[in-house]
Amino acid sequence: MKVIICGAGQVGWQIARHLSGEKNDVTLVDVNADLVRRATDTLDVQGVVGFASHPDVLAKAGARDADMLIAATHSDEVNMVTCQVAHTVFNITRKIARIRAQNYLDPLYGNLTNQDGLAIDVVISPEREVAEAALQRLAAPASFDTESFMGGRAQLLGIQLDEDCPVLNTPLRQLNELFSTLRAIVVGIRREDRLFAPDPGDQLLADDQIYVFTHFEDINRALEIFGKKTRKQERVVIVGGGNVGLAVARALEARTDRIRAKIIEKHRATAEVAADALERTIVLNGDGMDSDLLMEASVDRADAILAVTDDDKTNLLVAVRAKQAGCPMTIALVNDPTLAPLMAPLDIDAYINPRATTVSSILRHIRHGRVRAVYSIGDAEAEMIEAQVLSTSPLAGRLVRDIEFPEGVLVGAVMKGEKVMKPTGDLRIEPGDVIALFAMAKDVPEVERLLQVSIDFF
Amino acid sequence: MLARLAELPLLVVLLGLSGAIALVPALYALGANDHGHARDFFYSALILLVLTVMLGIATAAYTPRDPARSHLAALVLAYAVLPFALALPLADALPDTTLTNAWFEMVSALTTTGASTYAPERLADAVHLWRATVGWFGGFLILLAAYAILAPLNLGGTEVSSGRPPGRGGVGTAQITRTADPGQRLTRFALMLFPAYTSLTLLLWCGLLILGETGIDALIHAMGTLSTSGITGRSAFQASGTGVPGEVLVFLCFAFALTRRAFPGIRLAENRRPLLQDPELRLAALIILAVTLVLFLRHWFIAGQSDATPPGNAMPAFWGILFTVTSFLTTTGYVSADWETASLWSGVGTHGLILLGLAIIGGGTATAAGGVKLLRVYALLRHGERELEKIIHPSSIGRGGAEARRLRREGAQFAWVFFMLFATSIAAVLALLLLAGIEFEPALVLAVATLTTTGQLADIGAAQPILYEDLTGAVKVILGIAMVVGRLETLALLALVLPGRSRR
Repeated sequence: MKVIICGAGQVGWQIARHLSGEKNDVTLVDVNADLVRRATDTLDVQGVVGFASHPDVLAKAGARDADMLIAATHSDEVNMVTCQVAHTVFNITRKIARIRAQNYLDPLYGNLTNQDGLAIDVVISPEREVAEAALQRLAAPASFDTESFMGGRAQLLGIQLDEDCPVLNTPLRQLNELFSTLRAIVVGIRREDRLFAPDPGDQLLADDQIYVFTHFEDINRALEIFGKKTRKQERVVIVGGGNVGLAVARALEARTDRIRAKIIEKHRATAEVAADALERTIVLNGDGMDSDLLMEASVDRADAILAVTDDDKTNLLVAVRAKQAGCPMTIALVNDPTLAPLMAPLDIDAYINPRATTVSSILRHIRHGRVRAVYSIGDAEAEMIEAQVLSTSPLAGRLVRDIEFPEGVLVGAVMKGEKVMKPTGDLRIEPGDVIALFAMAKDVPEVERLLQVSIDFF
Repeated sequence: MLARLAELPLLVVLLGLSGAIALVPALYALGANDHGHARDFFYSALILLVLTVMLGIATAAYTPRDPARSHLAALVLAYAVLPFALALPLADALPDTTLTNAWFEMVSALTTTGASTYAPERLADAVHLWRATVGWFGGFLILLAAYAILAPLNLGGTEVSSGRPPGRGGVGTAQITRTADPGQRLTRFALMLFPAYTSLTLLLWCGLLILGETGIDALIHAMGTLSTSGITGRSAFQASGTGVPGEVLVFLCFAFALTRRAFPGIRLAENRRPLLQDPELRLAALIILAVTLVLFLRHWFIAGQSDATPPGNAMPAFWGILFTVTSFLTTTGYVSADWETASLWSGVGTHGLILLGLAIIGGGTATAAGGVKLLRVYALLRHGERELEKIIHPSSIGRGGAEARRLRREGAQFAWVFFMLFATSIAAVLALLLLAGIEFEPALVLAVATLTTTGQLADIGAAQPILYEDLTGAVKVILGIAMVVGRLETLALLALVLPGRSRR
């Protein structure tokens, strides 16, 4: 597939890396010649230097025969115009644009982005997605990574196992028999920096990071079994009042269980915008690294702190400082994936990677078949794929035990109609079912084949 | 023609208008077969109009250096000069009066204070109508001035919402090559306000007529309500005989003195918000309700008195308190017929002093009401509330948008400055009155009554009614000047006299 990616920033770069790794023909467009040269040097992509929305630049990037255009420059307006030009001049069928400003995304003006409007097929909003991720982290405080699937009926939880976890050193098969009513399955284990899909005979060890795919009603039970306590979050401190912090605070205010949130924001103008948009949340103006200010926000009595400023180091340090002051749970936004291994030594409970969330949502639209959700796990080591089974798929009509899944693939859950079921060997997959698969990165093409792209899809 | 007239100096135009309105009582007296008074008013009108024409011709070529400021100066001069011109028909109609008395009467009417130095029986209906007409004209003048003269200079309450220093116009930018001429602005706002002001007066007049008041009293009360002068004719407002329905009508018209938003025909930037969310109206409602409830409920809290009066009077007593409290908050000064019932019913005497406080708070900005103005009090309240928040969270950010933030910061600062100036003026007037030999309590009531332009406070504010006719000439002069200061707001006077002017 020929893909044009406009903008070689964080998101554009990562998508280019991802897509070029999957043998797609990727062209990267950016005004910064340096960035483009570095991209062509390090990634298997072509580069074009120029202004993304100019038709001649797009033509040079091969827009005439491109299958897809992803506009991820830093400017919303450039992204929108680029999609419009791609539609009108080059007739590219699939256009994805990143739009940050929430004003454009108001459902009230929903027809803005349709075919008659700006002709954007998919709008991705990193801030909104990161805010959602942050909320999920807050909702499942004991897990280091979460993502919801199947319209919220199932959840992927990343759990760090401690020494006092009651189910250590037990084969998974045995666990499955012990807790037969628990609709949860361990789909991935990370042990000593290696992620793998477990066999039924594998055992869990202390210090493992496991990924559990569970029915949403069983989240708390699953967490208890793996030795985690769930506690209600009542006081939350958010450091950083930009788009992400504001969206999180808004969502917290909209909830019925009155969560008291405080925002700390350094820039006065941004803080004022946040204060005006919020009803109950108290907005404090100052440096989040200032311990006096953290005490003013009563971090020591807070249940969780969420560090979502635009600076990774600040986020990490704020989280550490808050932990020191006595905040039981710290969540940090980290853009740089290489900082992820620092979380454990710094004693940060969870991190949000905006790149991962954004890339996940873009991948969802690139994957073949009726893929409904894709979540990229770790540093693109594995994916959780949710897809609808087509009648042409080799999966359709067969029992789970009869399907030849590759070694690194596990079924997380199957949804028939509205009902989410735990996969057992004698469960029959029927056309129209939704299936959630854990797949190691190397096995993704095989999974795609199993989900079968029928000709009529394009 | 109108445009040509608008180019004349404001003072000359106002002089002409004073002549023109003298025709109103002249026509009334003619209709009432009171030819003596009709003649007096008609001749005075003629003299004033002729004088205006001569002055108009003489000043036609006058172009002021700074038109905006020259209009402010003209407004101040108007309060100095016009009372003498307006006193002309009064002196004609009352040959045995002194110039001081006539001047005081007219200053009091023009500033919408409504204090009268004559016993009501002594004046003919035509003269009462003249007082009311001058009050009505004064109400319109201050309403117009608020929009066309004070607002462009950031005075009269605008400084609170704009947060820019008072006495100066807006900050010019390169795009603005030409600003509206204050003369044009005056004409535009006059054409916008006059129909509404007049028709509201006529509506209230008709309403009161239907409810059975005599024509002349109904007109005087309608004029007194809309201009917040509270001027009455021969009989007091309580004795008008329309009862509660008439008072309800007047009560509804108090809304025009509580918020400028209530006034029809004016397009304001804040009109986007619904009227009920108007801060001034909400604050007024809060104050009125709180004061009314306190005065009403104290009956039960004062032991041993409750069995003295039948409970059947509770509703009239409540209404009497509600109406009077609102009337004094708008600095109008009409007293409900049930006010007496209320003070008898509660059995704990009058509560005049609380009315003094209400008059100091005053009505809305850019209305005919006087006092500190609700918007300034609101700004101070918001500021105080915010400061309390800051005690808990010193670095917190207040909500409400840029406008609310400006109101709390610069707005509250200017409101505070104004408040202090107002307090200082009360102290100064009080000191002068004490020097002139008035007792402390009457002096305090008189000072507040004149500075808030609520002359009726003298009747009801003190333990014993204070009669203006008993005051000496010197005291009347002090009070007259205090009325002008109260009407124009100290800040506007300072803006005219102080810096910038001499420095330029």
